[in-house]
Amino acid sequence: MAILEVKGLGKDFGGLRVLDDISFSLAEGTVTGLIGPNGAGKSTLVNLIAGSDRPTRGEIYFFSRPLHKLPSWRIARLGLARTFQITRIFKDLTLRENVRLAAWTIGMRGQKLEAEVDRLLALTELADKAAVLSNDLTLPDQKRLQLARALALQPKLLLLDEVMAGLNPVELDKAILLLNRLRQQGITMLVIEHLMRVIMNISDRVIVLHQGQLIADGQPSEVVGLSQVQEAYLGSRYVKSKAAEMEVSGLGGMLNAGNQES
Amino acid sequence: MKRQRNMFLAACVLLLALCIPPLTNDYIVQVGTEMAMYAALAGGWNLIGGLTGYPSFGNVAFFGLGAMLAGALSVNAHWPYWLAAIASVLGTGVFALLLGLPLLRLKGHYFSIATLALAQATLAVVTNTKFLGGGMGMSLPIVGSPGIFYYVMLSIAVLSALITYLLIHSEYGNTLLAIKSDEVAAQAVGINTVLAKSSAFALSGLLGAMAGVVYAIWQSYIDPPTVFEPSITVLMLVMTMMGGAGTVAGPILGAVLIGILTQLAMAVSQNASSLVLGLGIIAVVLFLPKGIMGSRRSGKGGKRRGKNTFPLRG
Repeated sequence: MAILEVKGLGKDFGGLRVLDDISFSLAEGTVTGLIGPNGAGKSTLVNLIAGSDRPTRGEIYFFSRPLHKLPSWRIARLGLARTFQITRIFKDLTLRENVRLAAWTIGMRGQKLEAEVDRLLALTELADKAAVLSNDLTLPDQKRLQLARALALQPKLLLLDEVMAGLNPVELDKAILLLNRLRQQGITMLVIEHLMRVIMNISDRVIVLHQGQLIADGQPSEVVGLSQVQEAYLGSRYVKSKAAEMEVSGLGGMLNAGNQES
Repeated sequence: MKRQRNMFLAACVLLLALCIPPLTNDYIVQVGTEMAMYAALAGGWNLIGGLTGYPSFGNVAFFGLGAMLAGALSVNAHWPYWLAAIASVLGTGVFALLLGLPLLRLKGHYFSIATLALAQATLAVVTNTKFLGGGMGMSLPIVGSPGIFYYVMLSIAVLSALITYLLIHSEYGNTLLAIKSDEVAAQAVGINTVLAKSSAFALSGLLGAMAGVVYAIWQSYIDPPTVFEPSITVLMLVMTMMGGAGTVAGPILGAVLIGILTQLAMAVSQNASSLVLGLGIIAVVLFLPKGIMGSRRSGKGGKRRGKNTFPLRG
């Protein structure tokens, strides 16, 4: 069953067409990678789905329920949670209060609330910093805080906007492990990420945005081999010059290496 | 325990405040009543300006409307004053709630300017409404004694502090602080920000109206220019900033300090009092951007704003 359905979605900022005619659907329980070069419209797409911004054209359905007219707080309470590329935390509150507030808004109270917050802090390995004012946390911790806060909403669909940017290799491995654990719990995810190692590792499917349009959709290993995807990232001259060689090097080679790891 | 120590301090201050009328003269009681009034007003401002991060420049509208409405209902409609007072407070609360809905869509300086206009517009409407006394003002019956008004104002100030305390220690207060930190993120975790902000604005309005209602019967003569005086808002703001925005004790501390400073300056020269106020504002912005309470405390209730932000931006 499709948990999320996007139909003919478009967004203009003044005369600039940022997204045009985007249509796709996400199957429940799957992890979909969303990639594309800078400025492709990935974050805008996430903003539209989460209700932080309104689409100019098109429709969005979450469990067959139209989202494109709901305020974002209603969408969050329906079980569609997100993180932000540039961290947005409640800096006046402690880490624990940040997470607890999210669980509180969906109606948890008393012992159950505290137990859930404890569980989330343990899951994201933040328990030892629970009392720290979140403004004083390091960037990787703030990113994990955003994830914990999103999970506190008991999401059915999670939109992750570059949660792993800026992590070192060890932290990255941990983060991948965490996302795999979430997938096992049955949370559907749409993951924006530049790190192909992450995308290849956790995605069942990859969709590619380029200049506001969907240019590819398929298995991770298929998608990275497509010439239009390589063109989007590396330019057409690069692809032409490499076309003679059967073996794709550069980004393609790197991506294949990532694929073998998984 | 820190909390027990704070409770003890609060109890001591309250006890001291209760002792003022029997132990001092009418002049001190009068000054004390004014300080308590400003503590209540600053406490009300703190809810929207300090906790929620929406620096209102129009809170005097609630004070003025509360005073004029209560006066009109009692003088022109011949209601008993207690009934007029309750109706006026509730009416002003609804007024704040309804106007909060459009106004709180604005942010930062835009919100400040819009609320400034709100106060001026309310003044204009009240001045031109015959039922509300018009430009003439109105005289209320002289009742009570200075001591009574002191105690009533004091209880409003205590109520104001109590509301702030309860808010800060509740998830609703955390909701307001979350809105202050990042409204987009607050919505993303399912917070109905419109409702939260408007209710904070309404609470702020209720406290302002309470002070206004008591002010009207205390002064026994009120007219629109006096009760809608923009400097009343400025005082609320400066007192809260000086004491520490977003804290429980901040507005009270600010009201008492500014009150004492003004009286000392008055003793030197009548005109010097506004000079002292002006210097006070400059000093707060320069040396205590987080206020007296804010500079001392870290964590909840204290560390409210970024290191380099101008205080009025909340």
